[in-house]
Amino acid sequence: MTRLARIIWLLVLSSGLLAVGASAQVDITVTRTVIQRIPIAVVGLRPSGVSGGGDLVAQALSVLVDDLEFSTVFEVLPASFLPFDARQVRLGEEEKVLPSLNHLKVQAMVVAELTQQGKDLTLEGRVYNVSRGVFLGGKRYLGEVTAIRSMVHRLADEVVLRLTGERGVASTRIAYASAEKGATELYLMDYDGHNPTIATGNRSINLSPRFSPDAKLLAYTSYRDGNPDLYLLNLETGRRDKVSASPGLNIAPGWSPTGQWLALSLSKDGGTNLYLMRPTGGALRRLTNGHAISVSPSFSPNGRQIVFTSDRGGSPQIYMMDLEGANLERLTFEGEYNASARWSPRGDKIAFASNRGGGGFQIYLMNPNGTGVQQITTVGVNEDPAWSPDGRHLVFTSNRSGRKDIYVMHADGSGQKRLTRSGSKSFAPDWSP
Amino acid sequence: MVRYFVWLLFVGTALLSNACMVKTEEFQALQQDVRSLRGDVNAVAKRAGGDGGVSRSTDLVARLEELAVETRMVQGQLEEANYRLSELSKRLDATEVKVARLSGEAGRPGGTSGTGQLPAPLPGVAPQAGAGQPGPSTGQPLPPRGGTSALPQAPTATVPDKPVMQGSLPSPEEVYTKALNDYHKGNYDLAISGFKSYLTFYPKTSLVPNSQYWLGESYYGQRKYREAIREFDKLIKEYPDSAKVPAAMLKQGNAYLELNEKAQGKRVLQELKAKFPNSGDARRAQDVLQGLQ
Repeated sequence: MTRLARIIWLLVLSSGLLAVGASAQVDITVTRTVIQRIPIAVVGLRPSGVSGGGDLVAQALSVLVDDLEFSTVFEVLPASFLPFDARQVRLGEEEKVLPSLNHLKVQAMVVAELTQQGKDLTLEGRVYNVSRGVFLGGKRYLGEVTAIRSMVHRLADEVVLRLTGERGVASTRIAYASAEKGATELYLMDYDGHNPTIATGNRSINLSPRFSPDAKLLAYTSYRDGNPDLYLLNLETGRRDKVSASPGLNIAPGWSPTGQWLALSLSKDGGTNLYLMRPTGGALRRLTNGHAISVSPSFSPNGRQIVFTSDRGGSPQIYMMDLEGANLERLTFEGEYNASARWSPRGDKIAFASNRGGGGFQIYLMNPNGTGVQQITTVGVNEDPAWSPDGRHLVFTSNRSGRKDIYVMHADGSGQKRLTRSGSKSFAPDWSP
Repeated sequence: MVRYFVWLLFVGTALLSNACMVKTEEFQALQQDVRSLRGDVNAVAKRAGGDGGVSRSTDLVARLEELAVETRMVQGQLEEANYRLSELSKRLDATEVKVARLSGEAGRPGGTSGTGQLPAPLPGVAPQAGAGQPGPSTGQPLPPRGGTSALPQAPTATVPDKPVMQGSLPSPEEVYTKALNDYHKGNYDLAISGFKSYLTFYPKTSLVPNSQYWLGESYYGQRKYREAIREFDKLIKEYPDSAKVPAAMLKQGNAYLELNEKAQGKRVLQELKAKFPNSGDARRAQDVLQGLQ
């Protein structure tokens, strides 16, 4: 073997070792080039555990199965496939069924039980590696009847964590804008479209919501006081702070991965230029110059680069620069309009909207150096992509049903699903960490 | 046939290169125009209010807007021309690497040696080996396709009497993209070994200056400022025509400042302003210098 081959081998080996080191607590190691789902059996959730009948149990089961399927990690086996009555398995007796599942090449099992005392629910779940017959962990969740969906979401995330080492996204939320009665308000909903709640409610125009990396703050632009100013909403306390109110635009914020910086566009000095500021409002630093329009910043996971849209070359295109505003590179060259770039939390892809195919915007992915462009939507007009925190899914706006609504899909474009059905125009989503 | 294709690519690159220079001149002229008109507008605006200066000022503003739009169009064309040029260079790289691998010949199509930025044959490739008969000493043994999830493959070099399978080999661009992805994820150690591999194994390809730049950036990301300064220095000295030089100078200046070597930092930033006065990087250097006062 020559020097070249040896060094490359070493590189491959060292990458492998690093990956093993990082995932030491992972039980089933999955190396997937195309999506290979882990077959999982969901057992338990006996209807008799709840006093008011089987409705709550059925709801819990349906949420759990949907969460596990959506994760793209699991393939939930239909109950009819199992050699026993899956619903009748009691918590504590589940180990008896493990051998028969192993026989069927099922790799994982989750057993759950829901019990009720008055208004209070207890959900307990346990996760098993079937092929090794090993108990991986269990958790118990307490809450009121109204919290049932969030309790099940947390169990689903626990299952994903125990089996893959990565946190699931079932407990995350999506923020979006919704136009109704002459106003545009911001809403928050669960990642599966349930429980939409209003976040602004000022009967003004509120736009471009962006969750902080700790998910505690929501940055957005509001015309509440006449000028498009930048606000931070504390999602725990409900407190609102106006953090940027320069004359003209204060729009389209993007958080740095550590939450130390907000990038935003200001038009106070002619043109619409990108600036960095502290979320508390201080330390304003200019990143772009000139009379062009530069908007819609999104940080790389290492926090060193920013992708954004600029018309400095005559048409809106996607550019990249670093945190110092230096080293500007143009990334898109096809189509008259490329915009809304969002960097994947995994670092290897940038999602964006482009009209390059003709007939309106579609969502595309590219490598961070502009190569490897890949179209992932085709039906209707699709825009505003935003990544899930695990980089496996995207939320976006589509008009395919005749009106703008929020949709989700897996990062390869499969599994597209509508989330909003309020009857109002919904758009500009962001996915919480 | 392959040589013919490489030659065509080379001619195309040269032509584009010329087109690109024209655009640069045109662009600079327009920029100059806008600057002088801005000066006029300011002067007129100062006098406005009296002797009919307002209408002249309005004319100038309209003309200025027109020029700003034109400048942007030319800026866009310049970016596109540069992009096509770099795409051609990449294809040329890939083709040359392929030619070297397939035939074992030293591919020197169309006099590439004079350009300074076009790729030379892979190191260690015997120049005189007959096409179609690659012996054990010809054809560089090559790594499996990059990517952390890729399983190691049997090295193709162990089967010397068969042509190398091109499909299983990483192109220069694949090695580069992988290293760049590691950088963006913040896996700086992997990025550093990736860019170093690129510089070692594809030393004459078009992405060498960029790899050199990102190698410096990877050290910068690790706050290893001394190493970053060294790598940026290599870029500035060895590839003075690279588009990355102004950014490298800015980073080098910043790295000196991070090390609290103010005099050196100021020197580099001043030099950047003097050498590339119209670049965005020079404006950033100015911001940094102002902040120091």
